[in-house]
Amino acid sequence: MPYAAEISRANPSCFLFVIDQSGSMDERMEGGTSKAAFVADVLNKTLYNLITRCTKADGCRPYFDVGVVAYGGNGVGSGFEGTLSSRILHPLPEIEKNPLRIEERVKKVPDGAGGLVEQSTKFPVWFDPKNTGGTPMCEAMRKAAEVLVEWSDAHPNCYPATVIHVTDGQSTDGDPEPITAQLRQISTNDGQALLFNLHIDATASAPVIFPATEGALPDQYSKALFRMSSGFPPHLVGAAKERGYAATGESRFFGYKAGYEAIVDFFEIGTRASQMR
Amino acid sequence: MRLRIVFNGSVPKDDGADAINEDQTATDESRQRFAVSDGASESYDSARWARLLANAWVAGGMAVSRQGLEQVISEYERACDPSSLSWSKRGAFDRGSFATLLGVTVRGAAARIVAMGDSMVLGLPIDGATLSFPYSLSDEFDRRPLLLSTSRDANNALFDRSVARGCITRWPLHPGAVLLLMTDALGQWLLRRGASASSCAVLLAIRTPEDLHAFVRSEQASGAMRRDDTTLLHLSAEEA
Repeated sequence: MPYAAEISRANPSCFLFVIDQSGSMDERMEGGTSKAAFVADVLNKTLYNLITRCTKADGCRPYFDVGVVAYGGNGVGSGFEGTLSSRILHPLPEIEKNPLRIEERVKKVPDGAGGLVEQSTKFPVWFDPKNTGGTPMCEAMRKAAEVLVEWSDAHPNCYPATVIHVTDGQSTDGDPEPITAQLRQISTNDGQALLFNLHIDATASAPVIFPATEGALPDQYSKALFRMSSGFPPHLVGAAKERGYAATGESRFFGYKAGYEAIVDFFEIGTRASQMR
Repeated sequence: MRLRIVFNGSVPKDDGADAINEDQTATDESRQRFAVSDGASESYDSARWARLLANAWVAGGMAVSRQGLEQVISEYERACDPSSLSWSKRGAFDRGSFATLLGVTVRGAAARIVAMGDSMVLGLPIDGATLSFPYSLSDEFDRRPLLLSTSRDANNALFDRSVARGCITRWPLHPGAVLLLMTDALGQWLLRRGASASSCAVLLAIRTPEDLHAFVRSEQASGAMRRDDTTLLHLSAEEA
């Protein structure tokens, strides 16, 4: 059965973000946040979640190789800055050690008596908002495919790579569907790479998560991203339902106006069949 | 009646990894209290949490109640000293640690059993039959179990009255009866075989750590048993 390989320190999996940093990401969303700021926030929170999930009393464990391909007016390259910018993929503990900075934030936590109290917490930041120039989505997907081919060849028996692509959907260097179709076929012995497209949008349309058809999607961009997304492997449908999604065997790993929570859910559904150990 | 320890052993997921075996047992024959706790992999320090739970049960200080659990959580928090942790460890600490608790005590001629999570006890014979608790079908191991957590909010579901009732049972004991306490990989292996006489006989014959290690590695290699920390505690009933 595919997607069943254990994720371990000796047999890590791969988590690759592909991030749109084009000029259109300057557009403001409901609430006044720019799309670029939303993407940076999603990335920072997702990395934080991934790292804390893989950290035990003895430290952060290298269960994943993680990378970011960023694309925009400056071309296509690593989305990390500083020490991490030298290459695309890094073992998770390297990312844990190298945030750009650590901010003090305040979060609300249960007070044990039914209420909430504010608690100061340290929050690492790897990404700041960026938005400039065009949207070379095809080139970005080619770069992602190169990275995945190399990683999959080096890890033939590992849980296949997971790609999270965050964009507002308007490619300026051609049709990305053919290259994403090839990307989804890159595989290890445990299955094909899983591509989750997260479409952010400033319109007032309702969010659509893990749809089975294009019908409820508002425009050509979201429909194209739906077609570019991986389908649910049958054995993961139950895991999605457990998390409250009306998923079927026809559902795609696609989220229109999805937030950080949907990415976390996607990650947890996608790795449900495996065990991190 | 009293229970005597015939065998108590554990095999970690990987050889040479005893230090990170997240299964824990605690026993006190003089007090007739026995516990197995299986720390969940996705936890900050589930080995410590499982050890504290098992020890608290055997010491008799942990009733299965919010108050009893609160004492163990407080002990865990003191030991971890969260204020001294890095951001990543603090984040992991805040996510919590999770573990099962399977506890057995003897009252008169009966075993009182508490099972929270997917650690399992097999009794043979109990009232002339082979019984297992809390699961009787191997598919039940594929569900996400309710576990005891260091995160207080995560424990709310455990104290729902109907859930709590389903965690407790009482089995009559007679001389020669056997209780096999085990963690989930072994429990699933056993129930997949319908707890048949031959599969029970394999477990009953295990007497040394080497026996358990050879059996577990063999079943894992053939794909018959999931690779996980694996623990077996074999108790035999006799006249007090």
